[in-house]
Amino acid sequence: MNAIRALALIVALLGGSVARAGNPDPDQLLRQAFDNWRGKTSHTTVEMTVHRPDWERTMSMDSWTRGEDDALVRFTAPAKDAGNATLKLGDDMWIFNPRLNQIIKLPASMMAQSWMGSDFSYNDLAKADDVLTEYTHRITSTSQADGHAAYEIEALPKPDAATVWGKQLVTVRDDGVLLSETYFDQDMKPLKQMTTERVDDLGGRPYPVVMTMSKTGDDDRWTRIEFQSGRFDIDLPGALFTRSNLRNPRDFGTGAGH
Amino acid sequence: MRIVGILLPLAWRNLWRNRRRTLITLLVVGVGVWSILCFNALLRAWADSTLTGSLKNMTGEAQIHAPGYLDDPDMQKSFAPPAADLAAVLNGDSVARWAPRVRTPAIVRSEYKTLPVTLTGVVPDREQDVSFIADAVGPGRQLAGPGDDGVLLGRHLADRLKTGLGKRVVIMANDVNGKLAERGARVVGIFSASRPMEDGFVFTGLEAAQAFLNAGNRLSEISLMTARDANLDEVLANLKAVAPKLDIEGWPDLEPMTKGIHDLTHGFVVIWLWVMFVLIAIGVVNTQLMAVFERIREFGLLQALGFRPGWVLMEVLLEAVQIVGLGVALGALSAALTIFALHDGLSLSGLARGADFLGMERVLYPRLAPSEFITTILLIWPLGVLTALWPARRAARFDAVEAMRST
Amino acid sequence: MLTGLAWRNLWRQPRRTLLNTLSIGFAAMVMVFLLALQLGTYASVKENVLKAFDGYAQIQPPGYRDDPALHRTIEDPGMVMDAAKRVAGVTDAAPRASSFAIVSRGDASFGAAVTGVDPALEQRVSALHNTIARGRYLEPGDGAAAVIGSALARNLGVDLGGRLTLLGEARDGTVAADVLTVVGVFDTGTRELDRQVVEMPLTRFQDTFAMGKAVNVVVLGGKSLARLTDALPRVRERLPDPDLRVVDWKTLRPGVSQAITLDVSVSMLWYASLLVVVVFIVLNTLLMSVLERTREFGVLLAVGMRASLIGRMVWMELLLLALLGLTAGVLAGTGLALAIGHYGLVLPGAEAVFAQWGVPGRLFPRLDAVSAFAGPLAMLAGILAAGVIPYRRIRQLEPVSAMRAA
Repeated sequence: MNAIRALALIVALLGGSVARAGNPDPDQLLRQAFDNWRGKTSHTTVEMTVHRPDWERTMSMDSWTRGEDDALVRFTAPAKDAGNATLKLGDDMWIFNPRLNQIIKLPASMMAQSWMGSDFSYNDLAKADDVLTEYTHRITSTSQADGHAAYEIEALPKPDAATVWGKQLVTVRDDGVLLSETYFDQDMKPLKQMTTERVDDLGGRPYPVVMTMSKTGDDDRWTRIEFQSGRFDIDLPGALFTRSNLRNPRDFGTGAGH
Repeated sequence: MRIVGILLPLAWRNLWRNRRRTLITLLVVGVGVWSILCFNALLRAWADSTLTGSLKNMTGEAQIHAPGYLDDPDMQKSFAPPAADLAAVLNGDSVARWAPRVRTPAIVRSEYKTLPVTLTGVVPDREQDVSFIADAVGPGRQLAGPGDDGVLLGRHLADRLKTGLGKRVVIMANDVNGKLAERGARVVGIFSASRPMEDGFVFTGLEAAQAFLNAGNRLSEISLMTARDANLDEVLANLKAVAPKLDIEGWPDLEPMTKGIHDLTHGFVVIWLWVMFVLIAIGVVNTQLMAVFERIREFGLLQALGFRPGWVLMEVLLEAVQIVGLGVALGALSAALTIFALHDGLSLSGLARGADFLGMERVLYPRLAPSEFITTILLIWPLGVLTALWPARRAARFDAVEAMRST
Repeated sequence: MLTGLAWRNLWRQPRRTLLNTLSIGFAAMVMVFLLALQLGTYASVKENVLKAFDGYAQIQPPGYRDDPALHRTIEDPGMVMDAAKRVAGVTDAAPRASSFAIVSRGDASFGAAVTGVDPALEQRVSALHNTIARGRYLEPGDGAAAVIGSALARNLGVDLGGRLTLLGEARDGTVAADVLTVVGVFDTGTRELDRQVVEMPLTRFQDTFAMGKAVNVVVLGGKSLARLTDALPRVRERLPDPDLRVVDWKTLRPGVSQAITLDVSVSMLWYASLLVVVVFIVLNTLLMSVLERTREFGVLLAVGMRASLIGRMVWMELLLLALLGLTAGVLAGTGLALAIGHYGLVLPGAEAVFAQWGVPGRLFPRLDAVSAFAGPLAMLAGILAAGVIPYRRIRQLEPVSAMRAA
């Protein structure tokens, strides 16, 4: 009896340590990273800086997300950009411009245009979670960063994926913080990357509060996003994510309904 | 009229008394007729070829669309596959070939660039002789069939996108409900054609495109080529009669520029042929004149022997009728033989790049309707005879004695 | 002395000489006139195609040709335009700025190429204003005005006086938004232009798209395409900014250039055969006359003239004949070209083609050194080359047998 119990214990211990010492599931990790980033719902305030060789601009915006599909972004500063808003519902996007005072549905031909002059296109915003759903993942390396384990995940597009990239390399921390995302062409040459420059607490969770998107090898053109405040998994009224709200912002008491 | 009976064999023998002169006249007339006919055939072949080449740049001789499509080529302006009576006309004798298509503006994206194109879903076999794509695929392969969801890109487009064979691109377009549809597609073939074609069109299988755009079995367009001897206006009328709700248009309305250039070219061809004609007429006059003036003494003698001046005139005319007739016949015959010999086509490989560029055929097929032959013969023969009239009249008016005295 | 003899020989048979002169002259006249007409038609087609939108030539910022993005700009268009206009041959320069944007009205929205133009200057380098079907073209002083293509107007369901919303990306990346009133609708017959082009006043464009005073291209115009194209190298030298590119019509519209080349090569075939027919006819009569004069040559040989000299004399006759005919032909051809050049020639098909561009369908022959002399010179060469044949026949003559010939 003793022998069997001892054996079981050893097996359990061994099994446990194997589980601990082995790599986590990359799909799990990525899902965790996205959940951490957006939550089921979120409301964040963000400062975006676009840098070019001859100029630099900083804008402030309020951003709400619901699940993976719906998002509303409204610009609050500077005055020239204030009031501009973008609404995403599933695959469709609308833009609101206060000077025109009307909303316009974004046709397919505009999807590749840059969003507010940044290094993100409308398409990037719409397809942000593609890397989760359209790729297969495996962990290629592990490292240590600031007392956390960081996993480099190689994401290869599934055969039918509607994506142009050859692969993506995503680095995720063990607590779900996204550290970097690098995009490669189909010859496996790196083209652009999003890098987390600072991790901090935001809305009660560890968060990549400063992220920069830039083209590989070009230091003079980049876009930086800084999260200034954030609340996650809050109650957001359904009416927030509607076209009429896009056109006529109502205060839902969510702290910044305008 | 008995005199004609006497003069005719006399005229014939006269011709062969001076073989050199006769042969030269035969040569001038024969070569003249030959060159006019052959040039006519060649220039027509060229004009046809240029026209066909232009039409194969995704126009065809006629197109069928849903109303409003030409202004806004969106999938919402699509139509159901042809009903029985429309299909009957399309499959009938007056239409040589017809190609069903999905054709809508789309965006093609690579890692490097995003460009607007026209996504065209085709049935590869049906495109043969209707558009250029059937023969234009270079590296890679043609689409396997209407279900093939790979894409064919133009060479220049592929270069601008920095993509290539075997790579994936993303296609975005508005589906039949107006919603954005997006999918990845593999580049299975690269085609070469004129620059606007290479940059403007991305081909995929018809059924694959319909599935992608949630269009069921609906079509954006039917492009057709009429049978060789069919009249375009009649065919259009027939089609409109069986499909009154669809927008059916012929190429002159779809591509007025092509029509204009075609007519202009035709105008030039007519001018060129007439100039050739006049020149040959001058040549015939020349030879006839020389012939007559050589024989002044002879005519003088004939008159001295009792020939009436009118008979001299008639004799010369009858000679002209026979010699010109013979020359015309020989010229027409050799032209017919030449055209027949070239009926497999005259290759334009030297001008290949230019021809490719225009989407023009690389081979010219000279051909000439029998009516053209007859017209030319009926024009040149009397003309040749008429040109003999002036010298003949002069010959008839000579004083017999003076004539015999001249050298 | 030989020349004098040859000349007199020609006129011993005045009718024959005149007929030959007529043949040569007619062919030469035709060559000159038709070539001038052809070149004139090409020039017309080129000019009209280019004037429809691109212009005869453009000054562009580097990289613009391959990637026409809004941020590629010419910062000081005024200076560039002044420098260009100082070059002889350049009569006009017009600034333009353009970007792809969404044009919408109500629920309908479409992508369009929006171009800001200077209403007065633009009309001198482009012919779009000739195709206005309803309303008017832009005028100096216009503010929020636009002219759009007929198909776009139909798609948007908008007509004169209607308002359009414009949404795009400004040069500094901010949103470019504007509302314009349609003052004119154009109909070029070319679907691409009618469906996708919107023109608006340049100053308003620069405002909306945050361009400041910059533009994307400067379009050049001249009295004729040929003259402007010749002036381009000098324009390149005079440009204040060496990075700017001067783009000629062949680069703007390579398709037209290649289509014309193909057309030229086929018509060369026709001209060549014309040459052959003329040479053939002249050679014929020359041979016939040589054969007739065999006795005469026999006598000349007997009195001591060398056969080669006789041959040269006959060749000289040919040369004089050719020169006579060709001169007459060139004069007649240039005269005809000039006369028709005044009124223009109407050919079927020309109307249809030119109606596209809003100009009357008349073809104008264009005379220059090439059209006036190329054909006749080729003919001269051909005739002289063919003259070898009778020359050789004469050289083989023997005095006695020649004198005895019939």
